[in-house]
Amino acid sequence: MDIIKQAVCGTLLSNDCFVRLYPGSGEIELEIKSPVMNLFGNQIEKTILDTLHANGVTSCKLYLEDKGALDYTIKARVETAVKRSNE
Amino acid sequence: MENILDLREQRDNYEDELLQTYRHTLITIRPNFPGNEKRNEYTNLVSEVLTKEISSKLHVFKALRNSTHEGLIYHLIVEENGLLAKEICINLEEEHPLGRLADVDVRNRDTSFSREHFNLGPRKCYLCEDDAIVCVRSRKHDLEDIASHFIAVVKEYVEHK
Repeated sequence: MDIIKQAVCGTLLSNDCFVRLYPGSGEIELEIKSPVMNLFGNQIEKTILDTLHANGVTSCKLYLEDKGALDYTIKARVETAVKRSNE
Repeated sequence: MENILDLREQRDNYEDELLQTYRHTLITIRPNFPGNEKRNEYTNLVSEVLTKEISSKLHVFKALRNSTHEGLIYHLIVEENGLLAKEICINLEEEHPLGRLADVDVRNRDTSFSREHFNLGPRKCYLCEDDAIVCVRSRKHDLEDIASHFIAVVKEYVEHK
């Protein structure tokens, strides 16, 4: 599935994350900003990729700014962004 | 979980609207309690007490009260500039017996003021010496232990005040 239009989801409030999703050019490009990047960057990246794959996304650009979100928050925010980009 | 995430997005939009309307500094006081139902007598007390403290130190222009699953949340529009307001709120978070139990956010239309503006590191966990953000993410502690700590601190405050 392609991302047709830009969509956002989430907030920059504590324990949340903000996601901006754009159409891609044939692959998945991620940009992640997190205060716990050193410790959990890989885990955050895996959660995003797993969620995109599970939703059939194969091409997009995704910017995620983390404010201490848990994986299920990241998953829910990415899912909703995908949904909104297809509305 | 969906619900609390929706509430947070709605609150963010609501705060943006307040900042558009009032063009002052906005302070948000909310209890820092684990789980999807944050509203109870202990969290309510923390919000009430800290809001009263902040209101006594700053010039409050407007106070708005909302009770949701996120807990009892106060939005205060104050006359002071953001940096001064944040400094006063950080002092309260650090020094008041209930200060650690709440998140006090300070924003204006351009900036969200953080501890970094004062060269302060991230807040520590309720239960250990690690940064709270690290413990939350690694799920180091049981939610019940965190909730019990919160309640114990409130009970002790009520008994000794």
